[in-house]
Amino acid sequence: MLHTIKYSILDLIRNKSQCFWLILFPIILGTLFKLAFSNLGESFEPIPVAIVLKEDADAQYIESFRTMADQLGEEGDDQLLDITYCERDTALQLLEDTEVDGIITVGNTVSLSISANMHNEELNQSILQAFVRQYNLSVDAITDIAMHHPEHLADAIASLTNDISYNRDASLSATDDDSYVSYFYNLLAMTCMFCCMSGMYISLQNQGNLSALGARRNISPTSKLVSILGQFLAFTLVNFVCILIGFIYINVILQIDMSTRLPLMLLTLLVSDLAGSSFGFFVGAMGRMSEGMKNGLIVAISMLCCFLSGLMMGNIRIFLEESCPIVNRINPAALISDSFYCLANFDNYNRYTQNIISLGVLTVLFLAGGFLLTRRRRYASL
Amino acid sequence: MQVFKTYFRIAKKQIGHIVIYIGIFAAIMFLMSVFSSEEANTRFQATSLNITVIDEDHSEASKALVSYLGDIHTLVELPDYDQETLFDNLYYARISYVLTIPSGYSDRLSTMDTEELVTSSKLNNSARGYFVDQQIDEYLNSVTLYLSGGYSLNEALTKTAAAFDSQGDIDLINFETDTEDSTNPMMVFFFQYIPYIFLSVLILGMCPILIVFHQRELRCRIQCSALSQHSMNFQLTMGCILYTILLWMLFLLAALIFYGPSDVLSHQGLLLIGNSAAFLPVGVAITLLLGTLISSNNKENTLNVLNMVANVLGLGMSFLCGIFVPQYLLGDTVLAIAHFLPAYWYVRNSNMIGGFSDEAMSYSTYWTDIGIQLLFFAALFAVYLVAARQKKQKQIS
Repeated sequence: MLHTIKYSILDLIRNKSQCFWLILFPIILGTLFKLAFSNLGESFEPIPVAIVLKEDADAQYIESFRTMADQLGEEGDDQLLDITYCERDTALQLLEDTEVDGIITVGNTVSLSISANMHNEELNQSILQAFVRQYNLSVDAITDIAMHHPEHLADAIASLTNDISYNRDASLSATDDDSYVSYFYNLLAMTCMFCCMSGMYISLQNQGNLSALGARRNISPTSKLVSILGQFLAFTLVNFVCILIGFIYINVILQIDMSTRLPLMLLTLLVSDLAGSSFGFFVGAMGRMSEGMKNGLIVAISMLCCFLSGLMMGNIRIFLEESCPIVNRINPAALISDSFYCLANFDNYNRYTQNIISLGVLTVLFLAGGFLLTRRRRYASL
Repeated sequence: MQVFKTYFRIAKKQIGHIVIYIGIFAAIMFLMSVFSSEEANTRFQATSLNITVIDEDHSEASKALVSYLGDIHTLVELPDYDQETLFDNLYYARISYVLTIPSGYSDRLSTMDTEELVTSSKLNNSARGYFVDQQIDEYLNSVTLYLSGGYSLNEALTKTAAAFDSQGDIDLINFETDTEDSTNPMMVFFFQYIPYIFLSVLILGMCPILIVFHQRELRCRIQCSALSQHSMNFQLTMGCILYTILLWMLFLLAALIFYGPSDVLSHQGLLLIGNSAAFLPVGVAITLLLGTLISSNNKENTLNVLNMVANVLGLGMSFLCGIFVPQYLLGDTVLAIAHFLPAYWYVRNSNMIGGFSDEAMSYSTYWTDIGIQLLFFAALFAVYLVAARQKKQKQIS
């Protein structure tokens, strides 16, 4: 067995392209992801807005609005607005050129105009709307109180200025990762799925009708179990090292921190590597299809798995969880990326353990299936 | 036309896995278009978010807050309210906000003890979360204002509700002069994914055919025949073009079946088809070039390498150019880099046609974008010719 392992490792290392691409794949795509998502994460930017002060309005009203608006437009961490004071015509031009997200007109009341053509700024438009409404509401309330309960007017005005936070922010996760990190989980899952390629070669190299090497292996006295298992272990080991290099690159160079509970992260990678390889081994052992066909089948199935786990559209998982949860339980790519996700975000291990066990069960099933299909295969003539 | 004929003979031999690729990618494409149009429905209605409210107080006051939020947003009920389910739904953007109204809310509100009255969870730095925060503050501000003005809790709630109802509408200004009919967003998404799908299917399905021609012995044999290099390149290119056109028609047929002729043959549909036709030559040139660059006499490895290259190119270009993530969300640097990739121009057109970007539909932009894609084709094809020539010299020497 050791002999087989040694030569399989040598085989893989000399045959550079597989290792090369397994290492390079997460590095290249990871870099591109990092680049593409550098601007993402919905962080809040001050909203550009034009303010038009009507000349015929009450000077005091305008002044009080202006004081409040200037406060919100002050540069700093909690800057809400990016204000341009101008005339109505200029403001309309700015809005048409999408330089501002809305126009606030201050007259006897405060009103907001927005463009119907700026679909991508709807959130900002809504925030502006809420802001304007809040202002008008307060003014209405103060007027109402001044009319009906003038004795409480001072209290009411005081309550306007006191800065109470009504809302306590309770984080639900252990770390505060941005959602886009899940793309990196999926990238690693895909890299692990690529191990199925090497799994398939184990099958092919042991089938007499598909390769010359397979024919030679079939007549050698080494038992099939030993030879396949040895090869399998060797491939898994080499793949693991390759994946590890990608993992380190993502963590260290790209600064996507996945090192919380590092030993378990590594365990996940190892189990995923095993699952990927055994899946390839199983498909490779299936039926009498040609190599190209098996290759196509593996590529297609692993693409589908990665797609369903959210490689292309990060949110597909939650849709599936509602409409067809079984897919998330048996799809190896989804199990892998969900394991990373659980480790990064949850303190308890229930779901993580479930995922790892499922992956283990899949591995055993694929391996057993592969062996059953490969054993006792005899060839009348090669 | 021996090379041309042989090309399709090889293609016929490989038909099995080509069909698998096409099938799986067509399925992925269709699923993606369904999911993303569902997502787009929520994205483009940022004014009304999906939020979850957990009311533990069950009082008049808490019900008033729930109904206030329910008027603005869609209240989503979840199968479970444990931490994991809530976080899953937040993380995968099913909901944007979780508000918990703890028991005792009503009592604390009436005594004006409002510090940290409610608890909320949202994703870190989420602009949408900020938006809901603001609305809750707005509401509670108003209630406390009336309370401090001497009204009772019930009066304050009623007054607040009435005040919110009486607020005037905003003024919506429409600048667009050339309004388009509405399109089926699902179909626009279907076409948007074409660069990814085509690159993948072409690299996986067409490169193996090309690689056969670039095998050393075969290449040398063709070279010492009467056939000129020029003629061989021409026939190979023709083979690739015909193959790609067949593939394209298959996908158009799929679009016809999925979305029906009334959508696909509409004005926008035809514009989208035109746009995809401009991307085809780019795909062909990339595949031809790869077929020349990647060749190895070890068949196992070649297929494996092709798979990785297809993914790197397809996924990489898709993420950089805004095929999966909308262009307006990408940073300026990324978009600046993306200008040097053909898919960027493709997506720009498709966004414009679908009305997903702020850009108004303009034919000059449409044709410019198509022209740029064709320029990419010309450049890539020139590189291919040079590479093929160099390869020939290398193999002979």
